[in-house]
Amino acid sequence: MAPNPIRGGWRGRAYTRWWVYAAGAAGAAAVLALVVIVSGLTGGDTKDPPIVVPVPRPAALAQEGHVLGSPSAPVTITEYADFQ
Amino acid sequence: MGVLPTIEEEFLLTGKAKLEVRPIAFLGELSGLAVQAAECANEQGWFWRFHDILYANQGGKGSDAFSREHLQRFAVALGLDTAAFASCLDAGKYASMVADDTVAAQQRGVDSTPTVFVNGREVGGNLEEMRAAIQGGLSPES
Repeated sequence: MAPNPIRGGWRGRAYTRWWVYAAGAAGAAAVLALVVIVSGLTGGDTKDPPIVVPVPRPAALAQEGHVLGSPSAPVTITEYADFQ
Repeated sequence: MGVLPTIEEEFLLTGKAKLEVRPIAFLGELSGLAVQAAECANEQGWFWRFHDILYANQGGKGSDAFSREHLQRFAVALGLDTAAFASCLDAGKYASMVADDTVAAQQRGVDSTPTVFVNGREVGGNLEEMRAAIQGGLSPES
């Protein structure tokens, strides 16, 4: 399924239907297994990628558990998120 | 700039709204492991830093960006108590919680991520829709 242009861009990412990935998971696993096997046979590159460490948010922005912002704020935004 | 940074600046920093993230794992085993790692970081008060480092280092579907090894590297990079983090993650302390939360989200009708609600009402993720929904939840004097 193509990214939804209307709903995309929450973090600069497109919205993604989870079941599309579920349907493709078996195929991806097979490809991954093949890559691992080939990599093992050829002594593949094991160098770790560099880590991007984001700048911390301003101290004025409260962070408590899963909640960002003042606990007494009148509006609550709830986001269901898959980090991957 | 994405929608979330703008919302943070206009509504979260000004005390008009708060954002609660409910992590779920739709996208496979490493997706679930990443959520568990964020919960382990949360034990040390580092949920949001870990949340941010996950998004900053996403590898897309099928990648190993959130492998056990890489999650540990994130913990090191952030300066977490890595022994406690590893112990938490390896024990699978939050595995069942993540699975339960994912099922609960599906039962609520969440079938894509991110799915966003404002004061309990689902809204689209574009900026204007978000602004309108948040403004609608504010009293006139806010």
